[in-house]
Amino acid sequence: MTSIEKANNLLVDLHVKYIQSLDTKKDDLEYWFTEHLRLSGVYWGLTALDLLKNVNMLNREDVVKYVVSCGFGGHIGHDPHLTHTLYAVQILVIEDALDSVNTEKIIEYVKSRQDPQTGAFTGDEWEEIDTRFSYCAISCLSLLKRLDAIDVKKAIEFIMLCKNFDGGFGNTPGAESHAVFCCVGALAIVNSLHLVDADLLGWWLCERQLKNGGLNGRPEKLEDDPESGGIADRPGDMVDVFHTLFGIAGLSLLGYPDLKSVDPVYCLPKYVVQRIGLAERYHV
Amino acid sequence: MHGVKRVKPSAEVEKLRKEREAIKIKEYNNLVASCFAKKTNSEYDEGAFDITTKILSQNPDFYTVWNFRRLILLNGIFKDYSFEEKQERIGSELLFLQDIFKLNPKSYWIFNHRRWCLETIPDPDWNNELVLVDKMLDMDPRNFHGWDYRRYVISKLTRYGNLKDLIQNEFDFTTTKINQNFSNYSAWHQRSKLLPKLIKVKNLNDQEIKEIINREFELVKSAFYTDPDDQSSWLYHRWLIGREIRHISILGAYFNRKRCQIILVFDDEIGILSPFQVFCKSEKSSTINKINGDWQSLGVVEGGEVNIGGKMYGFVWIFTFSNKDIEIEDFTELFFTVKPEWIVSSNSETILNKIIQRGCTIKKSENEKDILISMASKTVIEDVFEQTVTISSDLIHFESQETLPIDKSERIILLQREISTIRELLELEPDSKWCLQTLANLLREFKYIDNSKEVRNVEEVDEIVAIYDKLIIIDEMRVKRFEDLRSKIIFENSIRRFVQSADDVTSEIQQILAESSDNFLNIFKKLFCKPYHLNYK
Repeated sequence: MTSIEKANNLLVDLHVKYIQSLDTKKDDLEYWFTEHLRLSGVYWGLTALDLLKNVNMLNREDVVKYVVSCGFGGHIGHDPHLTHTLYAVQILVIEDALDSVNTEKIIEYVKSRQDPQTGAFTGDEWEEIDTRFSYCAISCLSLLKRLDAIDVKKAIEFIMLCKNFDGGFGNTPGAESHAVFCCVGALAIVNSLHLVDADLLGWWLCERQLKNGGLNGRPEKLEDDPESGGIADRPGDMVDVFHTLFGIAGLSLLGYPDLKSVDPVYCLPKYVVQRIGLAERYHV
Repeated sequence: MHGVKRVKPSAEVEKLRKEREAIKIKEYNNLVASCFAKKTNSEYDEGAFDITTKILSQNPDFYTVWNFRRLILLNGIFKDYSFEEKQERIGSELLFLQDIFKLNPKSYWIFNHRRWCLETIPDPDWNNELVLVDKMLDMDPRNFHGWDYRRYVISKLTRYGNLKDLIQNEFDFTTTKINQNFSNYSAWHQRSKLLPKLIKVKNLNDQEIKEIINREFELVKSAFYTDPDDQSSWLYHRWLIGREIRHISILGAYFNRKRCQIILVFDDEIGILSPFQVFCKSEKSSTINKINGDWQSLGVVEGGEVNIGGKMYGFVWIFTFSNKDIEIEDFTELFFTVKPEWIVSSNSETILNKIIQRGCTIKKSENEKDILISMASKTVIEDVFEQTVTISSDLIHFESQETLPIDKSERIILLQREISTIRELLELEPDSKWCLQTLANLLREFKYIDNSKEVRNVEEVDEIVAIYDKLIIIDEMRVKRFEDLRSKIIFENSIRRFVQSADDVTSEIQQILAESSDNFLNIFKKLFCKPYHLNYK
């Protein structure tokens, strides 16, 4: 295989091995420093494996048991947070194991995070506000088919306060466009894509692509692969599971062969979203 | 890992590293274990506090430890504190944050804790925070945490200071940042938020508003003249010019006798929030009666999937009478009403700006073959609206991004001026894709806004098409986008020409419909479907 061929081929086995090996790196300090990312790591790894048609490489029973033991936190014993609540639900939906948790409790928790006045969501009881959490709440409740539990209209109003001159969305009202996926994704779930200025945002998004093919997150910055197709953030850098998922999901969206289709709104394999009957919600 | 280079160490170095690492891991894990034990036992004391300090100095992203640290302060240490003691204690907390910030300038949790400190400290020094954030943005002018924190500090300062001065100061701050580096997109963004506020708060007269906006054009011009490849100034320029909001209109409305259907064709994809109302007058009584039925978009009919949870959008909407045995022969008149608040546009560029009411008279002797009857505009009959309609609660049209107070005539002048500015720059930079894109966009906007001319100038369209042709060659990464924009302009223009050249548009469309018999729906779709269409398949 020439180096070009190598670069153009997705080495499925190596990626699977990499993801499987993540929980064996206990002699690295980094492994312990990132403990709060353990649950999210399971979501990133599991989704990547599923898209690579290797979902069974992680033992289902172990995964479900671990998720349940995290509660709403990022790892066993860690405090509850809305982002981790979504990761837990996403994993359980992939494993078709929602019946192993009390979903009413999850719905109650998500509901309690909405500010009735502004429609915004706080990440936890320490009240950080961010449109990332709006996405977490809306995606999570949509997966549980309980969007009725929150004030969707108010939630949309808050997201729209974060719309900017370039058509993008920020993390809070007034903030630079840096939360486009979360805001557009949330609007897609609640059938409000008409509120997006597609032409303007389309322009801004197109111009995220740089000469080397990579995409950056904001104008006049370096490329990063949450939006593009590498496995580290950029060629030559250290790999990590977060970028592995978004790299593979990006390839799936681009129609790369031998990958399962990814649902761009929920960032879950498409068949999973179809299985729970949500696939057509945002089909305009 | 963001920005961490991949290097392969030698076996010897690796062995030594692992040994050192093992010691560190043991120490760290012991700290975490005792921290969690104290947390479980609600031990809110100095011992627990010191442990959190040790952990967070190494790992500031451990949010659970930050939470515990706040609980220790709130539920333990602050308990017997005086005002001064609390002030001093949080003061040293802020110094601790400054130290670990230097190692981790992008940690959300450090900023969260800082905000908590400032909210909790008895006498917060917001001006000192502003000095700090200045330094932060000197170190990294694009750190969005820094900009977010700056906005937060300013929002607090508005409680004490003069709002006008604060906004002016912030506006001047963005000028400084932009002058230091024209590609500071964060600063341009901040400016787009401040400029409308500044105009409002300063209570400027028309002449002063014009001057301040012109100064913006000067600034942005010097930016793109300095570096035409920098996108920050071009994005800002597009926002400065703004655009006129487009109005939705009905291209055609027909009554299909045979099928008991009303067919509406809009010039944009719309969704229905509250059903349009259909009424008839009949021979028997002179009163107006409402006709019951369902509205469906063409997409629904074709897809065969009705009510899949979402709103449906379409150019073509069809109303089918619930009661098909209705005695149409008894009707003397049939009409429908559409109010702006009953529809929602599929995009944020267009709105319906007026009530539409159209109708037709029904002649008894109508030939069976003549199945389509055009419905002409009617004078709005007010009493029709007395019947109450429940309007869907999700009717929302936001105008969140504040825009500049530029009216239509001023915008025409601006557009003309900017078109010539860009043309001049294009002579120096004939292959600048930003310059070309901007010129195409300005010409498109000008073509739309300057609708005083009855017949469109074909050359204008040709020029825009030629620009997109050039862009397709210059910027091969965005070929599809330019092809979309190119076909959009050609498509829009063809439709407009078709409408303008036909003496009677209605009869033209009727002709198409009559000839296509039962397949007329597909013809409509072909005629009016968007050239580019977002479709998750």
